[in-house]
Amino acid sequence: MNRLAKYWAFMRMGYLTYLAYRFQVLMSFVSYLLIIALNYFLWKAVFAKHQVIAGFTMEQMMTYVVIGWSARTFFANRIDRMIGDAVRDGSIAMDLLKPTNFQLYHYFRAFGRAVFMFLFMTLPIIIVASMIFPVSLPSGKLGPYLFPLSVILSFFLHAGISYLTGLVAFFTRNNEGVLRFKQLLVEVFSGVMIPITFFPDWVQKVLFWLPFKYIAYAPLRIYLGMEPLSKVHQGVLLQIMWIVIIYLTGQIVWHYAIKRLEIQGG
Amino acid sequence: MQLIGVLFIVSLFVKVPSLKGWHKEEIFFIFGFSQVSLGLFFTFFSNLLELSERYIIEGNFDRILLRPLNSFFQVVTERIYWEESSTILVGLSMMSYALSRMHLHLNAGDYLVTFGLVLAACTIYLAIFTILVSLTFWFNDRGSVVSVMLMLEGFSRYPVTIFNRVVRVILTFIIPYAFTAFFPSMYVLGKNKYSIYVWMTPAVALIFLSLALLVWRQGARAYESTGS
Repeated sequence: MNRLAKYWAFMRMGYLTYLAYRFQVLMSFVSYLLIIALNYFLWKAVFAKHQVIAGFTMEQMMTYVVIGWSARTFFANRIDRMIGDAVRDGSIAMDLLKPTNFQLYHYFRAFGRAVFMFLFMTLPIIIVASMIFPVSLPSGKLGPYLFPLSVILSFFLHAGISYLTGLVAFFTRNNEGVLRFKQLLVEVFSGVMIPITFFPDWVQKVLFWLPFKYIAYAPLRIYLGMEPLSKVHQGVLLQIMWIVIIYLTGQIVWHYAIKRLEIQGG
Repeated sequence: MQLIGVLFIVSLFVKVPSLKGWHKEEIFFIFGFSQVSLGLFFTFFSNLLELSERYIIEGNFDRILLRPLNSFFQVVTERIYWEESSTILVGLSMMSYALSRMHLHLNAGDYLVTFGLVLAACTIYLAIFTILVSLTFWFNDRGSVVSVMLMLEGFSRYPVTIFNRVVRVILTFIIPYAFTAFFPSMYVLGKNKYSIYVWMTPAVALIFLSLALLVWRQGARAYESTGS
C-alpha cells in the first residue's frame, strides 16, 4: 500500500503541473485542431480521384487522423527532456535521493500528465473534431474494448523509449541531439504522421522489427477494425513484449548510467 | 523539426500521383519555396521569437531601450541562428529536384525574380511574427500564440486550391500565408492565371511589414509606460 501511495503522489504531481498552464493547453488544443484540419484538406485532395489508397478509404483515413492526433496528446511525454534537464542542472541529485525505482518514478509522473491530457486535450479534441470532420466510431468486434487498452500500452511503450533516450544524458551530458533524433523516429514511424502502409515496402519490412509502429499505427488499426481477430491479439501481445524489453533495457542501462554519474560527481 | 513535414510529403507521394491536379514536382517546388523563405526567417530573424522569454521576462528589453537605436532592429539583429540554415538547404534541394524534373527553361532574369520573391516571402513571415510577438508587450503568454501560428504555417506549403473558400480567404487576405510560397511559386511554375498574385507578393510584404512595425512601436511604448 505504501509503495502504491508513493507512485500515486508522483502521478498527482505530474497532473497538477499542467493545471498551471491552462492558456498554453488551450493554444495547444487549437494547434491540434489546425493539424487535423490541414490533414483533412490534404486527404480530401488525395482521395478526390481514388477510392482506396494504401488500404485506406477517405472515411477510415479521417478517423485515423482525428483519433491518431488526439491519442498522441495522451501518449506523448517529456521524460527524455526532464532527465536531460535534471542531469544538466544537477537536480538529478534530488531525484536520486528518492527511495524509488527511477524508471517507474518517471513513468508514473508522466502518466499523471497523460491523465491531465486525456481530460483536457484528448477528449475535447475528439469531441470538437468529430463535430467538424467525418469520424467513425470504433469498428470490429474488439475495437471498442481493446483500443483503450492498446493506447494505454502505447503510453508505456513510448515512456520506455523516452526514458532510454533520457538516460543518454548520463553518458553525454547533453542529450539534445539524441532527443531530437528519437522525436523524429517516433513522429515518422509511429504512424501518426502517415499510416506506415504509405511507406515503400522495404521501409515497412524494417519497421516490422522495430517498436515504433506499436505506438500509434497498431492501436489505430484496432480502432478501425482493419485487423482480423488473431492479428489484434498478436498486436497487443507485441506491444506488451516491447514494453517489457524496453523496461528491462532501461533497468540495465540505468545500472551503468548511475556509475557514470558518480564518476562525474567525484 | 521541419524535417518531419518534408518526410510527410515525400512519403505521401510514394503512393499518391497527384494532389487535386497538382503534380508531385509542383508540390515539391511550392513546399521547397516555403522552406527556403521560412528557413531564411528562422536563420536571420528568429531572435524575435525570444521576445517573451529573453527580453520581457528576463528583463533584457530594458537594456535594449537604453540604446539610441530602433528597438525592433536591435532585437532582430542581436543573434543569428546559423543552425536553422539547414531548413534553407532542404528547401533549396526540394526546389532544384522539382526544377530538374520539370524541364522548365529559366533564364538568369527568372532566377533573379525568384530570389526577389523569396525575400518578399521571408519579409511576410517577419511581418506576421512581429505582429504576434508584439502582443507580448501587452499580454505575456510565453509564446503559445506563436506556436499556433507556426502550426498554421503548415498550410502555406500546399496549393491554396485544396482548401475551402473560408480558409483560402483567410490565407490570402487576413494571415497572408498564401503569399509565402504558393502565389510566388506560380511565377516559375508558369501558371498565368495567378500572375496578378505573383506581383502582389512584394506589395503584401511591404504593407504587412509597415503594419508590423507600427504594432511593435505601440507595443514598445506600452512596455515603457508600465516600466516607469
